[in-house]
Amino acid sequence: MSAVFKRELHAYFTTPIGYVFGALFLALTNWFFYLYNVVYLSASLSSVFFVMLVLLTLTTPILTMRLFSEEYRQKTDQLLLTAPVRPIEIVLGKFFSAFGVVAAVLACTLIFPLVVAIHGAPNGAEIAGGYLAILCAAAAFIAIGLFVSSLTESQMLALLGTIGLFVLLLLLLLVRSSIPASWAWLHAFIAWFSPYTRFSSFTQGIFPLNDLLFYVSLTALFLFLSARLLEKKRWA
Amino acid sequence: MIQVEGLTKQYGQRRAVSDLTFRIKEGEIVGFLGPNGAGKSTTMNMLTGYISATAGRATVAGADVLADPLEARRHIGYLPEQPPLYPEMTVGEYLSFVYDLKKVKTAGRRAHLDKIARMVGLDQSLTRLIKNLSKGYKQRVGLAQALVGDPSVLILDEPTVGLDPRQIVEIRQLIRSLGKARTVILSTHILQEVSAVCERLLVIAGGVIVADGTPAELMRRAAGESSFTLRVAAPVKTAATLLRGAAGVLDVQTLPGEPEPGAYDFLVRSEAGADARRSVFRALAGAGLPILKLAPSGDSLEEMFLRLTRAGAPAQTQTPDAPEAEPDPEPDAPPDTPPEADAPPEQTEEEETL
Repeated sequence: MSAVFKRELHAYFTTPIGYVFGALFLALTNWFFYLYNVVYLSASLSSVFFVMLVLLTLTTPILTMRLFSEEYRQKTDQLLLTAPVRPIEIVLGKFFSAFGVVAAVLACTLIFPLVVAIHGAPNGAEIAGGYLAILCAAAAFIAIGLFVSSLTESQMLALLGTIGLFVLLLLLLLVRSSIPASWAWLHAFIAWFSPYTRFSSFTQGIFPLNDLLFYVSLTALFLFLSARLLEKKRWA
Repeated sequence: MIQVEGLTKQYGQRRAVSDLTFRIKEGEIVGFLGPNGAGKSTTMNMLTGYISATAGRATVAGADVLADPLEARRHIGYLPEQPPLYPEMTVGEYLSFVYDLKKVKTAGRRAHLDKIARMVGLDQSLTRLIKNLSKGYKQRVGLAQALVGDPSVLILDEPTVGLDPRQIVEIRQLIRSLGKARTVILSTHILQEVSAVCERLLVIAGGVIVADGTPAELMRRAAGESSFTLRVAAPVKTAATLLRGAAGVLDVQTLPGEPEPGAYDFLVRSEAGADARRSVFRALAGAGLPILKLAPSGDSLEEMFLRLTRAGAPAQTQTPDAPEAEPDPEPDAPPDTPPEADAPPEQTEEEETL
């Protein structure tokens, strides 16, 4: 696992991908932080976290698109699959490398609470919870992106497919508001599996364990599926 | 070391490999020889566990490649048809990655990787980016990758593709020296390669083994029927009638053209086990017709290959009187079986890539 992890991490920073992701994500979150917290003088970071969540759905696919697609295209999967390594180790190595990049980039945003703390009184628990939640959500997004990447040889298809999936989930929320109230089960259903509604309680300073578990199990599910898919390729 | 029983791979309707059974002893260098699409790569992919078998089983060093894949793969170094390289890495980084990936236990990563780099002639290129390497160098990196961890079994899918003639000689020498302590399977469709490197040959065609033996054995078996070309200074009809009448002659074919004024070329096939050259000489000499040239046709290894792989029918290995559906590819070719050491560049390129 550590071999794959190290190689992928290395690849993120020897190719433009890691930098593209970091620059895009940081530029947009910083811009939003400046507008909302600096210009409008707010000490609450909850909206920033929500923006981070949406930005992560749009930018983590950049990190995950090549994880398996590129291996298939270059036929390097032959090396991985004939090495004495289990498929889940390969999947986890790749997952943690992308997760490491996200975590490092998120660490750069720790400047926000610092700025807020100098000029106001931020809620420490809310911020800690927000970071934990955003990390869990990022893990789920990466796992989904990893899975989509293991479906296709084309990076572009993996990128568009993953972003498309996340945008669809976001659109579902809009659709939900136009569903008649009598269909409560449908409301509940959409809310249940939307990673966005799951997130809203975190931004309100609440820390529900079941929502956290939702992200964690989503991550586990898609990592498991990716490993199975990798194994299944043998049997094609 | 390697045991394969009834190995079969089915892709939808197409059967890529059918009921393959063979054993390879420790320390053997075995060549998989066969035309493109014969099932060589599929077999190798099954042996390394990259793809599963539809039926049958394969064990490497006592471990079943599907039931106990990690143990089996620990013993295998695999160079696939396309070397699995990451272009954005340097050669050194890549080999170091493979060292980690294979969980090599031997102490001294530096020393181990340096030794391998020296063996394949990459010691000057460790800091180069793989994407900037030429095809031959990429092939060497692929070979180096297979050697990491000192596996006891090497499976090499067309190891000399893309190399220049000097490199080919070097790599063949390397494989021979590696084979002293290891079991090596290499696939090729280059005939010279098997005679240069392999101790044993498995000829595969149409997904089945059509022949199994040492190169010398197989050639002897194939030599049951032999043919030669003949140039006779005589009218075509007269000469052909005489030739057909000679003892031991199976068939006479008139070759087109008049290479010398008043002289014609014939392709004569002898009956199995018979050498018709003497009787042909007597027949023509008796009629006062001068023989201007007599040459065994083609390369016997190539002939054997053609005969064995034609239609992929295993029965043909036993019955040497194969149908003459396919005329000899180069009837006038001189009997060239050059030792690989002095093979000129063009030679290697023009080898029968059937």
